[in-house]
Amino acid sequence: MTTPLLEVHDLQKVFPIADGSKVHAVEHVDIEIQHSETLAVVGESGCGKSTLAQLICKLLEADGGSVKLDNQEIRGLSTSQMRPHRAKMQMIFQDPFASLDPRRSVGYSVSEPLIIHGLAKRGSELRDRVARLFERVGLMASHMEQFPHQFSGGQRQRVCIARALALQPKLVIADESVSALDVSVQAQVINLMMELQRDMGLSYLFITHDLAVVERMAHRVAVMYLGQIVEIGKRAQVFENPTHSYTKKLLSAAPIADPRQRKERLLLTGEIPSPRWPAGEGPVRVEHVEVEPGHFVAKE
Amino acid sequence: MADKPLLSIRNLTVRFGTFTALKDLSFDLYPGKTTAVVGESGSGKSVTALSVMRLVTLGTRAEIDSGEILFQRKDGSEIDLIKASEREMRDIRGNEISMVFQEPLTSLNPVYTTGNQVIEAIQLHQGLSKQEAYSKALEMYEMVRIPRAEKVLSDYPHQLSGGMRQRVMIAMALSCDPKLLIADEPTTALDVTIQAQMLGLMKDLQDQTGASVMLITHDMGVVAEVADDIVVMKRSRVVETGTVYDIFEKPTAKYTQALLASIPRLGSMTGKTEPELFDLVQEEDE
Repeated sequence: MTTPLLEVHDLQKVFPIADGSKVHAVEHVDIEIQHSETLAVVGESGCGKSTLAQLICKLLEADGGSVKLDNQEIRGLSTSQMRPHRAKMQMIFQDPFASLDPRRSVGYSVSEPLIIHGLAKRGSELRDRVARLFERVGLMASHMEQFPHQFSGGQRQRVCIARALALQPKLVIADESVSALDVSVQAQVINLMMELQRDMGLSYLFITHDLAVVERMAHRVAVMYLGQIVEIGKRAQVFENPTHSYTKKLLSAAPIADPRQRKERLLLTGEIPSPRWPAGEGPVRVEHVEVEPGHFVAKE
Repeated sequence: MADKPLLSIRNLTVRFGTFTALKDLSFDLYPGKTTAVVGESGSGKSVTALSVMRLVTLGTRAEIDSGEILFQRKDGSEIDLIKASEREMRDIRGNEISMVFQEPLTSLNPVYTTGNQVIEAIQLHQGLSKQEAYSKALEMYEMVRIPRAEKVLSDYPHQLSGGMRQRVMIAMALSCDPKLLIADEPTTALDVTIQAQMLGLMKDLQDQTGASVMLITHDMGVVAEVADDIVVMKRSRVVETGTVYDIFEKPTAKYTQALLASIPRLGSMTGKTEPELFDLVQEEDE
């Protein structure tokens, strides 16, 4: 097997709280993403999935563990040391309106990474590259002069995708990138992301709470619960043979858009426990068992 | 249908200045049924709800141009909510028609305990003493399965989780035994496991109280799960109405077909190894 594009090993992040207790947001997480592969990380609010994404792209610095991108350790690199690796890894966020500068034309926002990384000279060369990116994501070159408020939510997310693609990354981290979109627009954006993967060989780390979307677009799925991965495997393994009790409950709770499939649900009773622990205490580290090739489940 | 509609919206047109938010809208809600009003952002779902509550014209430039909203009151009389006096509306809101919103934290007053707010609603509409209202509130909290109900009555909204806050909102909405509950995206902000609990709870409560529910949502999964009837809206208009089976299995409008084609359905990928593009239906623009 070839070297994975992304190898995350034993990654950990703990947030201290004023009263001395600590939130164990990400606990000993191991994941790998191959080239041209989509790994979806699913879980509910507070399970640590967004923190995981932020640790990988270094918006947050991990407390322990290792993150290798293209066989290069990036954890602990300074901002300037990180710069050559930045281009390989880009992010798309949930709210495209909040991630675009309202006072800049969207064309400028998409060209900025190219300018910062010195990949295109200002002028017609830059304009041509940005125009091609706009066309690639289903917008028109004439949209470049417009401002974020002049677009619909779906178009804005296309702009963000164009910006993420500007540096020709290998890995795109998408944190709830389609959650805020209307379903018909959501489907179009998901189709676009899958087409880009096919054409450009992109890998995605896809963070979401929406299991139906994951089923559609992921190659592999990791289920996070209280900062740890409780189940990871190929999409079909996790969806058709969910093994951990939390995965079962999560899948059972998800509504199915078919009125003939109303069912008695496996309800979680009460609420999910808090990942917050008093100083000196912490969660028990889960042990994983390989229940079938490539399908790992935390022991219960 | 044999039953007389509980609520009948007829030819309702609402304008915000030059923008027509609702255009000649007509549909009926039946007693004890859950009717889902679905559509994308800006299609007019929430304006419909606010029109029924007649909150749409309060402090806005909105004008109800024409139409009627006929509602069967608790006392057996029929009233047109468009023509009702503000005094009559105050008596109806929260008492005969109540509403649950998407974001419970912004619907609850942060400086009062949750119990305080529920008790206020009960006292206002039912003329009970403070002590009686407290007992009623406690009973409602237990009905919506809030654990440690007595403690939660004295909690402030920020001390509760999103799911608990939404339970408080539902308790408040049902405290006066309304005939119609309007729920505007009631589970959208909740996690899926909490959403499942909440949908189950709303269904149970509906069976107990016989209330009709108007469920406003964009989530077709939720609709398939709980709705009896569906109203599909697009750009201020009703596109199609029917039972949940009609709409999901024999959609006639092109828009409904396009909408359904774009929904990821859990289980639809069973047996497939590779991800698959959505087979989108091109919708003709009228």
